[in-house]
Amino acid sequence: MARLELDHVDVWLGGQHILRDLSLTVEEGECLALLGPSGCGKTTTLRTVAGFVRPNSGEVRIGGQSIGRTPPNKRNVGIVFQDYALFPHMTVGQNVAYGLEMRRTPSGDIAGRVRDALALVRLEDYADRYPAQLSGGQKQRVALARATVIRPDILLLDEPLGALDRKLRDTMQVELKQLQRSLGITTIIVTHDQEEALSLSDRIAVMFEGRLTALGTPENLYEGPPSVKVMEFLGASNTLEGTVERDGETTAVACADGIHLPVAWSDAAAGETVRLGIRPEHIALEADAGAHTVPCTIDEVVYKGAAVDVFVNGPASMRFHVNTVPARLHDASLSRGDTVHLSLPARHLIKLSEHEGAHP
Amino acid sequence: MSEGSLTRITVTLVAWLAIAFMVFPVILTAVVSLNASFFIEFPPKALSLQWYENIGAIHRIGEATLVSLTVAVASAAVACLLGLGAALAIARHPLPGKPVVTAFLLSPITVPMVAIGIALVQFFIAIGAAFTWWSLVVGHIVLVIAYPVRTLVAALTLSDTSLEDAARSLGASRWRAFRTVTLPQLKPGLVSGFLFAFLISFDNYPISVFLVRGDLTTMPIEVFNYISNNFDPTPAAFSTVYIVVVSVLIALAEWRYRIMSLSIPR
Repeated sequence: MARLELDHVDVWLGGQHILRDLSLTVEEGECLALLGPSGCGKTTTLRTVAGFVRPNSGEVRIGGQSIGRTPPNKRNVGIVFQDYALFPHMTVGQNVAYGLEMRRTPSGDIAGRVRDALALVRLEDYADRYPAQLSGGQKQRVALARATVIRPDILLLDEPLGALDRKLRDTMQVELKQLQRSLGITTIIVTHDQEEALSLSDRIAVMFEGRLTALGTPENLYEGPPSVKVMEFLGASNTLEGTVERDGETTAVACADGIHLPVAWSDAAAGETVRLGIRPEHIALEADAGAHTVPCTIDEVVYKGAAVDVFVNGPASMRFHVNTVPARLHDASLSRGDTVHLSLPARHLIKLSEHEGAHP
Repeated sequence: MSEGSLTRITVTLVAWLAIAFMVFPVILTAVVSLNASFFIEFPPKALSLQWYENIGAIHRIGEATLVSLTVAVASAAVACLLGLGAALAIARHPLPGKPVVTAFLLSPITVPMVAIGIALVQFFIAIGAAFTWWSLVVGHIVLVIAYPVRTLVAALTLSDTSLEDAARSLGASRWRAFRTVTLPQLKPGLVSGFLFAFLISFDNYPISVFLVRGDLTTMPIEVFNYISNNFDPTPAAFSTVYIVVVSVLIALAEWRYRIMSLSIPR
């Protein structure tokens, strides 16, 4: 267990600038998700921490110690690979024992620690099986046991739930979170799945094109993303453009056709063009017009069971995605083609920056 | 009868004919070897094991088989070792001119063996090492190295690089990770590469014929000499023994290591 620091790390691979001046600190015991599209450098970041990639410049520190030149086998970093990378010619027990044997743990201790590690992932009866005889979920739990039994300073998880089917993902998500918390290991989860990042981590670092573009708690980043890209990457979103209007203490944004939307922020000058963002679930559908509502026509209704996605067309070719509960449509007896009025609460209208800042 | 089932019957028939075409000479050899008659005749009138007893009549057959055996084992072993290095470079490292290196290593399969034989004998004469057991081994390494390279590249391509990374992250040094994790994955590739190299070397005639002289001789050369001077089915008896031993070897390797998956391109 230790604090992990990446300090102005640059990595070039095959003539390409993969990591650009990446600085990031993961606190002791924290679980950080590295989120970004494929090719954004998140896997390279993981491989840099693990020691498979050497940074061209910058420093990596574990527990304050610079480990730039330390080979992977001397770093005490546990990794769960995307495809689990279980040794096919070894039993589950031998797989878990491997790291302990490499560390010259006394053989008397190995058996007990392997048993404990397997018990922690509820696979104590599977020690004599081979990986090929396990299901996907079981393989992943073995990989977790193998990576954690060595009591690593840092635990790295590469797309941990990527290879599992939907139902298994949901159960493993809860299990993984509980395991990480009970072990208290400093953890990095690399993922391209925003849901995985939101549900598993204490903080999320969003990466685009080798740069860290946003950093914050899942709630802060989801509810108040700094930029259009981050907002869109973290979930469904609506964005609209308008001009800032100020009237004493109140700030509003004028969008097309006399629509004035009051906002909760005030750090913009009157007349400035801004981009606003709002999550689909924060927009309310009203049957009747009210102050600052936007009149729209329902274009499409997509029923999702617990929720329903409503796509509406507004004035000046505006289009909104609204997420609500089916009862809401039902009670107001709204369906395709009907006119609705959207209410966009001021505190949910986020001011977004167009370009990606180097830092949040 | 529909067109589809007609096609299927035709394909099945052709497939069986092809198999029969391949198996028939083997069966014929066995039948002839068991024939009591001096002359090759089919079907045999009476059965006997006399040609098996006569195998010893092939000039220096024991000695020659021993040379073939030791040369085949030595050249296959060295070819596997060198092939492993080459395969690792080809499959795992960003090697400049990789297609050229690969093509070069596989070229003994495509270059006429007579050409290789002539080149080798001139080379060995030039360095003063011609017509020795060692030169025969080196010549056969050139001949057989393509096989382990091929099966090992296939095995390395199938094996997962993240396994070695996993071993390294768990505390294994580079060499330890290779030995305990990668090498076991390569076992089928090594076994099939060795077996192919061994078999290709063991019954090679066109290259060996240039490299032997005087006391040094190999099994295929002596068998061929015997056939040139005699008409009896003794070589058929020898071949039958050979076919049975090789078939058992391959069946064992396949049963234990599933080597066919590596040698048949997919």
